[in-house]
Amino acid sequence: MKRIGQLTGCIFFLLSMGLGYAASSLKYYTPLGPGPGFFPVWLCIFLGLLSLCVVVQSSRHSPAGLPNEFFPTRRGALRMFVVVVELFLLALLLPVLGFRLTMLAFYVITLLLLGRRNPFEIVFFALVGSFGAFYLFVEFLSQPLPVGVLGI
Amino acid sequence: MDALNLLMGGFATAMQPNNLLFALIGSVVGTMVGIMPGIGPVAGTALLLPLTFKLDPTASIIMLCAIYYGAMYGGTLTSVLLNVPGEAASAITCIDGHEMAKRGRAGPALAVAAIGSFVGGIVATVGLVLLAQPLTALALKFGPPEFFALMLVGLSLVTGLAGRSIALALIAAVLGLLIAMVGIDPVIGSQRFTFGNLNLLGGIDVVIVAMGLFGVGEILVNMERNVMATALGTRFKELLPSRSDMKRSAMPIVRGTGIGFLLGLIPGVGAVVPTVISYVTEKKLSKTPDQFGTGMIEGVAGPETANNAYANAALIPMFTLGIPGSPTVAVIMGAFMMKGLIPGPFLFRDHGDIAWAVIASFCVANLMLLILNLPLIPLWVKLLKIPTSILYTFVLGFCAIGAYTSNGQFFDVGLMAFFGVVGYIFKKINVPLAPMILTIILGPLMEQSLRQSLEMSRGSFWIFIEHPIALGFMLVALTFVLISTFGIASKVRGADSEV
Repeated sequence: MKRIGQLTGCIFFLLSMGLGYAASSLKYYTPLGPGPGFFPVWLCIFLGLLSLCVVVQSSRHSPAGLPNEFFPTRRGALRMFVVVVELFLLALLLPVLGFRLTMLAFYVITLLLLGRRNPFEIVFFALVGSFGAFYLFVEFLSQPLPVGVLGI
Repeated sequence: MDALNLLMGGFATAMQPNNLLFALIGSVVGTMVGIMPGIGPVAGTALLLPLTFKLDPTASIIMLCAIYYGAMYGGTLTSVLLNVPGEAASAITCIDGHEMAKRGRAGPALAVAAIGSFVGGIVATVGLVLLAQPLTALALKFGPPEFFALMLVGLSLVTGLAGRSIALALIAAVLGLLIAMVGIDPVIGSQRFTFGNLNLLGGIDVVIVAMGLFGVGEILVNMERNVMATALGTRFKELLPSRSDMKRSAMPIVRGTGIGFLLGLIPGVGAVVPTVISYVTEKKLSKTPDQFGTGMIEGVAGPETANNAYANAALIPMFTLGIPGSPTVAVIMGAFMMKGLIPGPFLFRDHGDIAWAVIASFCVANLMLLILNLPLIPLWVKLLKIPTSILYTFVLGFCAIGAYTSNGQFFDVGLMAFFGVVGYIFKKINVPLAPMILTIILGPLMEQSLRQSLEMSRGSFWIFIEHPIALGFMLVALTFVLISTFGIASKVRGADSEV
């Protein structure tokens, strides 16, 4: 865990530098008082100092080895990767394909990914999660959900 | 007497059929969410937010609070029946609750937990009624320096949510504050940390972050481990506790109420602490401490009461001071803000009717949970048999809907996925997530009061020393940080010496 702790501290330190750089372009002080950059600059300084604390703390106290199951199995990593990609694709495809078609595809892929093999079951749950959810939110909860270029 | 009259007015609103219906729906849906392993009250409350968008503010908040209580109770069911805590605060209940279930005494365990939760919840609500007006009156006298110092106390208490490292907890808190800075500066109107992305102009919603960190992140962890809860074969010899059970549970319920209520008043303590303290107290006071872990009803009654008393009391700082006491309360506070209501002293002044109706609804929702939960135990057991693959797929789907509907932006779905990955990584490297959620809510309030204070003093930080209340709060904050630092340092040393 020592290396992980040191790496974590270094990444947070780099983040503080990057955000600090972005914050430095904001006005630190204005005639009215503290400007929009005042709070972010101090937060970035604080983040940088804390990151260094983590590096020191990890170097002194953390055990060398990693805990059991720290890294996912290859299959687990693949499952997580696909789900995350799916969620990002949702953001891109929702305005194009609309809620119903995008979610239908999302449910089918995710259920298959998580080991469901019964085609009737997959179709049923995918329809409930896509067309059923659309009906629930639009008709009952008056929440507008996106309709795609096909009008679905 | 005035508070009593206002509460009666609140009851009149809370008892309206539509509000009763939403309290009922919230209690049932919340319990369902709490039962599902891997979805805690934070993610549950956040992902069910879209259900409340159409409702008027009173009904919406009543339903959300009922979801919160329901989720807290739902966690108990999985702890007792499956030995898998639905949420962290119920973990301690696994020890004796599941042992009771293995002996066919799941019914009495759940019944005592429900009764204890009811007592704890009602007492904490009475506390809220009694404290609401004095605390609000006090808070109304606060100026920006006092508010900033008070926020600092809230921030210092974040160290109470620290896991092994205070530095990591504070990093999470600072990251939350930085996330809160994203968008347009409220005073000057310039863009901050938007990096030219127009979708970030409105800032980052706490609900999106909560769904990502606690919902998607938790599911990713479960997918990695492939943890699939197995269907249980718990036998229900009896459902109601015996007279002896009730006699043994009475004092643990009283003590649990006190512990949960007092710790709930302190923002940032976290729901786990009161349950652990209650369990340890019961074990220490027991004549047969060696029997704990073998199915002692005291080990269920005390912690479960403390859990619900804490959940209710944690709403007191939010209602009276505008400080969220826990991550779930932060999400509820976000919902208040979405409805144009700002929790804190002005809530009682400007929207007293809503505030008192919501407080009255706490009693109603707690009573509903007590009445509903026992007869519905067989239904909850069936729910536990839903394969997690289906459950997680629907939770992800609901998270996506929730992220989109909160602002009507497709970008938010991607943002939620991003925070899901962040949540997964943070769990791996032991960065606590709760401080981040708390400070996203506290951030804007804190910055506003700091800037106003410095405007008042023309840039002099002495203003925080010159105002005695502010100075007092700052000393309290410093004390908390020192206690946490040395407390954890001694734990680390202790752990080292044990090795």
